[in-house]
Amino acid sequence: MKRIILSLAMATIAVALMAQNVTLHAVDRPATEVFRELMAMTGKNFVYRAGILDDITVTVYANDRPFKHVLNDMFRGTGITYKIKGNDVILKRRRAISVTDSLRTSNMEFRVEAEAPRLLEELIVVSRLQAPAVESAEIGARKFTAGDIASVPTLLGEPDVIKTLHMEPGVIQGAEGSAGMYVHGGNADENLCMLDNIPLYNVNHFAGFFSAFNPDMIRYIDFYKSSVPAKFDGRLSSFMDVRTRNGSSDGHLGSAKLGLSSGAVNIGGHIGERTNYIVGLRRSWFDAITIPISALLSAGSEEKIKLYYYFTDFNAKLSHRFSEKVDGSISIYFGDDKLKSTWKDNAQTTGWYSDEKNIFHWGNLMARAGVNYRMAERMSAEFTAAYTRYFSKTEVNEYSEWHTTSIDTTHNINTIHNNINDWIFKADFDWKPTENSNIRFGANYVRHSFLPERVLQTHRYNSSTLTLRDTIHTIGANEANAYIEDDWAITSQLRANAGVHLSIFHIDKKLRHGISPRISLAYRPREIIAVKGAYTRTVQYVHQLTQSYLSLPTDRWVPITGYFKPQTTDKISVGAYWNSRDGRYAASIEGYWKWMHNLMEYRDDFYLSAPIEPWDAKLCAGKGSARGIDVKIEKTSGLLTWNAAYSLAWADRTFAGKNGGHKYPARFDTRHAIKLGINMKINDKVSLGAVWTGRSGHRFTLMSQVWEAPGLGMPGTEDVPLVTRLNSYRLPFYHRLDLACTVNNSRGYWTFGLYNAYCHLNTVAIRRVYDDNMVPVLQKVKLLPLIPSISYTWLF
Amino acid sequence: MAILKRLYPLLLAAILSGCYETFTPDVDTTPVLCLNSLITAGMPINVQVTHTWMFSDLNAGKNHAVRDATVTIYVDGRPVDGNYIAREGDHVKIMADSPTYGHAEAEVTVPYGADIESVQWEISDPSYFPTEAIPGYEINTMMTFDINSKLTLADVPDTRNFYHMSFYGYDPAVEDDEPEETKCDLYLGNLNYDSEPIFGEHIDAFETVMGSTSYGFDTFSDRSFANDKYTLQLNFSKFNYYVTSEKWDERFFDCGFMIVLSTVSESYYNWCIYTWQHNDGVLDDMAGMGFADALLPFSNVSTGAGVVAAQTQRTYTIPLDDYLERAVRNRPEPSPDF
Repeated sequence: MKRIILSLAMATIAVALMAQNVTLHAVDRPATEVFRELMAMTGKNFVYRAGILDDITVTVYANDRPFKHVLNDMFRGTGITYKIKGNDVILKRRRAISVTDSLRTSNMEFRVEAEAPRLLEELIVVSRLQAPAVESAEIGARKFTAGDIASVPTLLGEPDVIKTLHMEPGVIQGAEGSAGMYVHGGNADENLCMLDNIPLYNVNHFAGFFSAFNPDMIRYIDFYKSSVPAKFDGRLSSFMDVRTRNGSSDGHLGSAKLGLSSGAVNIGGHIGERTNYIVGLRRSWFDAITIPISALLSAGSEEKIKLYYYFTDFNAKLSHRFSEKVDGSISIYFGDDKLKSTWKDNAQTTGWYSDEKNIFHWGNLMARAGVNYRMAERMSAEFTAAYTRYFSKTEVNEYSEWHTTSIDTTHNINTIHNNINDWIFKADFDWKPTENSNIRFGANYVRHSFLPERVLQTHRYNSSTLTLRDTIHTIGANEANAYIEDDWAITSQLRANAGVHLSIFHIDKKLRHGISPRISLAYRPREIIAVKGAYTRTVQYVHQLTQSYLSLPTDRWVPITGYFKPQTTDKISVGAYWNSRDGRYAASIEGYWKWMHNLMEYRDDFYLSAPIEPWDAKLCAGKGSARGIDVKIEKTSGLLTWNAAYSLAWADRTFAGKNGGHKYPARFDTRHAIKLGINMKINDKVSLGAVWTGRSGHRFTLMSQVWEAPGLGMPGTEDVPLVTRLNSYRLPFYHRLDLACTVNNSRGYWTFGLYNAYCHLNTVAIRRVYDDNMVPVLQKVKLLPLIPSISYTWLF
Repeated sequence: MAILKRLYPLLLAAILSGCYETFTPDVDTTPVLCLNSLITAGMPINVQVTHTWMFSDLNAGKNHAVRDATVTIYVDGRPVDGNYIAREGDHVKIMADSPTYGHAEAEVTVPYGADIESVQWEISDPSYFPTEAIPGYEINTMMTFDINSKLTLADVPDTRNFYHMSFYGYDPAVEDDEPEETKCDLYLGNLNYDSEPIFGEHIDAFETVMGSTSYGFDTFSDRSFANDKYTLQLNFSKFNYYVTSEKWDERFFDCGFMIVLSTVSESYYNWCIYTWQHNDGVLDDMAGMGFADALLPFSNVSTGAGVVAAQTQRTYTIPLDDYLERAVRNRPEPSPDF
């Protein structure tokens, strides 16, 4: 298990003495908060693993007492021991079971924390969102732990990164049940999802109903939706850096999980003193159901149908400590979805024989090697080389024979490839020139290779091949980025984070560039209150073409080409934050207004463009704006934790090629959204979680009038709907309650879930149909009833 | 490919169990004028004026004609009367005004017709169905054959052109004074759409993998052969010819097969693409589940209701009389085992 050195005061004053006295008053305050205060007094560093103190509160009343006595008081009864070595205070957890005081720790992470730590394992404190919001300059940023992910009840009981983010105010789920994510009025492809700081293009499985991150492999996630560090760019709406765990340093620990939709095995350990590893595999087992069902359906029939589908995630990571100053790691991620269907029709009676095979295979491969180097006491660097690949292959192979007096054979093969290959080289530096300043800077180069679509079509009729179409179009692009930012504590009350991200994107012999300034200011008039303001500009050079709100293998990532300009967003945000003195409660209110430029969407009449025309012929450029307020109140520690979030938002779009050029609401323009979450630990064995979501219905283009079809071309056309203003109709209010219960036993834990516990089917669309009496009616389409789930995780 | 058309229901059925609720939405239902017209070069201009209606209004769905509208037709800017015969190259503007439903207008240019440069055809795979010997009847024959043809058209230069193919057969009408059992029919063969890829030029990768085909779609553009010639491979299988008569009559063989090449306006083509997307594409199905945006119908009328289109037609006839006569003369004897 990876360990973390948490240097909370960034090497302030080197005056650590064993006999140093301190004065400290704290009642039931979070341990991390108290440590920061002690750091400020003593200059000590506290060394401990990530998450070990997440739910620990301490009570101490000390007036000019020796530092060591204060520590004794603080940790009495918590199961935590400490050891002072030099300027570091190293914390250990003696028995993990004694400190499990919330649902958040009743999972794999909890077990791992039980290991005895070794010293000074890792040089870099990765998460920059460790401090509470009142102490940082950022707006709309949050760190999620593995425990946070595990505590959110989800569809089929599958813990899900994206669905955890849906609980944040300002983050809207797309299609019902899916892991689509729409942040502050943006589109789904405007979120940069990174795994260990390397972008992944496809972060979904099963058409978007599950995200591609194996939750058991996650250590934490840094999520930014308003003010964005200068390090990140390339997307308009949000940035999510998912960091994977390291292997255990003491023994080989792991877990095995079996749920309704998938199973997973994870194991981590160490190899010698300096090396550790972790490997995780998750695989769905839908095919175990679909294959026998399709066999049953085919039994006794001349039609033989086979259908199977699975998704897989594989993570592996090897970390090595070369020296006191150098860490290295290599990691690999592979995730894919495969759908295969075969259909054989051996119709003796009709003389029709057919053999049809369809394969859809798509996914991500990411390989990364990185070195962390502490160049000096106040400066460290991270060098990374990575390869990330998105691939999609669809193959439709149809063979048929028509037996009459002769035999006619037809053989059609359609194969479509869509790939992206990126080579990435990065250097990131972290420099603390003074105790009040933390400068981060770096640069990276990305070599993109896009294959938006390669189509191979072969049509054979009897003995001759009538046509063969083979279109290959690979596009190379070079991207370079550089950034610098300073997180500067100007005074004890005023903090600023200012920086700039510069980018160039070279494609089609055109050089496009982006300048993305960022600034965040935080004023902290009192210790528990902060107000902030920020301006953020982001630039996006690649975008996703999709005709649906699902994640499909036919979705394509394509670069900016032709007359289209890079997409940009300018965003102003303000916020006010409050933390209770004991750290148990927090509240925030954030407002934002953003302007999106050069957005790209399919034209209203995109389907009229033939495939042989360039893909951007179907697109049009436009602009959008979004504004809103996010409010959140939460209780973050104790046996009972809860949070309540509310969002008030507006989002609109204006495109010359859509809605007649008039402004219209975005599809996921969600005026009101309420999210309530609660986690409660009943006892050492049982904990409960509940999430209630209520929001305004999504926007919908309801065409309730019709007109008589002209008698042209294809016969049998029904009455034709009259086009109205896009997204002018709002679907009914959406609400849903999800429940989860975790029951620990000596070997592991059970998780029980109820998705949509009170079975309120929500309206997702409206359709025009003729009822059983052939009367034309409009109907609400309602989806997803109550869905129970169960899983068991065995810890070993 | 039918299995892929059902892909989503198959995949989602395991976790989705939807339901439907009939309701009446509170939306603006003010009807507007709808204009439909297909202007054919060499023919008078007809316009059908109706109005839109709320989908669930059963009565309006049965009767939506507009009787108080005034329709004005302009050709190249000049008003014309109802007897005007449309010509190739005419720019036609249709305006309609109704005190009840307001104003609507649309414009279209009658395209210049592309010529059929040549048609090569051959008949293949003839075979006879077993028939019984009917006493007193000289002929009782049923046969089938294929026609493979290559039609070369010359694209109209310097304009973007769209085409529609249609196929007709003709056979001799049996006179009223013929005996009841006397029959003579020619049934058209099935066009093999796989043999001519241009009929599928509108199907993109997404639709292809989802199982959509060009079957029944006879409209295409000159995108891939602009200002040039193009040869269509038109393979028809299973023509059926059936003749039963007491006596031999040369008129029974007066059969043929007509290929009509229509050069159509862009509005005609766009409407066909829309109807294909609506009937055969998957996007509309996905939109119905809330997984995609609604497919917006094509209309070139100012109100968004109706299509005003134009066409110029060229026809080529494949005569079958000689072949059928020879085939019938060489027919096998009726099967005694029938």
